[in-house]
Amino acid sequence: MFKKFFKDLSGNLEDIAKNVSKGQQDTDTNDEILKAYANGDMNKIFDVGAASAGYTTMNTATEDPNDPQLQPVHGITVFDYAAGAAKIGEGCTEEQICRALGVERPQWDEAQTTWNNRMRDDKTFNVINVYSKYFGMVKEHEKLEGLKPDNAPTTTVVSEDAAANLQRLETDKHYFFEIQAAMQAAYDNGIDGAQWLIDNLGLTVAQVNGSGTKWMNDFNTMAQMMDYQEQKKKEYSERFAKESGTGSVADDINF
Amino acid sequence: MMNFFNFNKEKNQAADSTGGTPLTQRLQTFLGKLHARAEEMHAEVQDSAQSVADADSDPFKRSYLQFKAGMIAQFNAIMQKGSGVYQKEVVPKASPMELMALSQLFNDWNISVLNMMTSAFDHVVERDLEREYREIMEEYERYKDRFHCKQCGGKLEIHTFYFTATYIACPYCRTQNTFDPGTKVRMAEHLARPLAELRCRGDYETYKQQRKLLGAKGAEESYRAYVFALIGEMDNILPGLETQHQNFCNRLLDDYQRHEVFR
Repeated sequence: MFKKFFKDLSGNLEDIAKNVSKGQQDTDTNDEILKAYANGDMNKIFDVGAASAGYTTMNTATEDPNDPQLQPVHGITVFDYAAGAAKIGEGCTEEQICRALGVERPQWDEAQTTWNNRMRDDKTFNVINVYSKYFGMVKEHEKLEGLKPDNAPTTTVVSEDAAANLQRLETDKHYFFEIQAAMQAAYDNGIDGAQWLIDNLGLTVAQVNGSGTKWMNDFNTMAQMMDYQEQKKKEYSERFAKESGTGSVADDINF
Repeated sequence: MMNFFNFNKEKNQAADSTGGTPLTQRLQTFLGKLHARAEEMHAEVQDSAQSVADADSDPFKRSYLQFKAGMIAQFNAIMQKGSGVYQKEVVPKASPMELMALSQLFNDWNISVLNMMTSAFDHVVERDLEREYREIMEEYERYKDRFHCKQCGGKLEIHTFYFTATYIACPYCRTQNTFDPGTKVRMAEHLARPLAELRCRGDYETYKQQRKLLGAKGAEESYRAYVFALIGEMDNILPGLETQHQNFCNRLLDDYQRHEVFR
C-alpha cells in the first residue's frame, strides 16, 4: 500500500514539477512578448508567438544536419531544390537545372516530390521556412546562379535594365513594396500582373518575389510599409484605369 | 431586375420612417443607382463566367482568375464609392435623428452589395477535375503503350502508374531506360488532393453536419473518417506515395487537434 502511495506521490510530484516548469515557460514567453512590444519589435512578437504554438518562422527555423526532414534527396539539398525552383520561375527548364546540378530527370522528379511532401507534412513549418530562405538566395548558389533561362519570357526591357531592377528590388524596400502594389492594382483592373512585370521590369513573378523574401519575412518592415503599399496601390490603380480606359463601373454615378 | 435581400424594400421602409428628408432621399437615390449597377454586373457574371472558365484551357485557369479578380475589384469599387460618400459627405451633414435611418439604409445597401460580390461566382465550376484526370490517364496510357527499350527495342511493360520520370530496366537486355510521361501527366500530383476532396465530399458533408450538432470534439470521429477516406482516395490516384500520404494524414489530424478541438 505504501509502495503504491509513494508511486502515486512521486508521479504527482513529477506532474507538479512539469506544471511548474510549464508555468515558468509560459511566464517567460509572456515576458518576452511584453519586452518585444515595449521595443516595438514586431518580428520578435511574431517569432515568440509562433514558437509558443509549436511553429518556427524564417528567423527561428533551424538546419540541424541530422534532421531527417532536411536530408538531401539523391544529393539534391533543400538549397538546390529551392534555388532550382526559383530558376524555373525565371524560365529555366527542368532539364537545364538537372544538367547544372549534375543529376538526371528521375532524380530531380523524386527530389521534387519528396521536398514538396516534406513541406506539406511538416507540422512545425521548419522545412518550408528553410526552403523560403533559400528561394531568395539563388544568387549565392554556385551551380545555378549564372544559369540563363532557355524559356525566358519575351520582353523589350534590355537585360541590363532588368538586372538593375532586380538589384533595386533587393536593396530598396520602398521599390519592392511599390511593385507589389502595382501588381495588385493591375489584377484589380483586369490586367495580367505577371505580364505587366515582364513588360515593364523585364522580370517574372518568381524573380520579384524571390528578391523580396527578406522584406516579406520581416514583420517590422511589413508593418512599416503597409500604408505605403496601400497608397501606391491606389496610385497605380488610378493610372491603370486611365491607361486602359477601364475605370470603375461606378465612375459616372455621383452623389 | 433581381432584388437582393430586399434592399429596395428596406430602402423604402427606411425612407418612410424618416419621412424622407432631402438628405435621406439623396442618399437613397445614389445608393440605388450603385445597387442597380452592381445588379447588372452580377447578372453579367451569371451569364458569362462559366463560359469564360470553360474556354480557359490553362491548367491553372489564369485567364479566368484574371476575369474574376477584375469583376471582384469592380464590386469593391462600388462598395468603396458608397462607403466613401456615406462617411465623408452624408454623416457630417446628418442630424442625430436622420442618422439612424441613414445608417440603416447604408448598412442594408452594403450587405446587399457584399452578398452579390461573394455569391457571384458560386455557380461556376472552375475546373472539371474528373475530366482533367481522365485526360491525364489517357495521355499516360498512350505514352506507356509506346514505350520501348532504347537499346534492344523490346516492349517494356509498365504496371504501375509512374507520374514522374522513373528508371525502368529492360527485362531483355538489362539496359536502364528513362520512363518520362511528360508535363501533362506530372499534373496528376497537383490534382490528387483536390480530386480526392471532390470524391470525398459526401464524407465531408457528414462531418460538417456532425460539427454543427456536436462541436469540434464531438465531430472528431467523423472528421477522422473523412480524412481516412481522403487519404485512401489520394493513394488510389497516386500509387507509390502511401507513406507521404500517411504523413499528410497525421498532419491533418494533428492540425485538427491543435486548431479545432483545443482552440
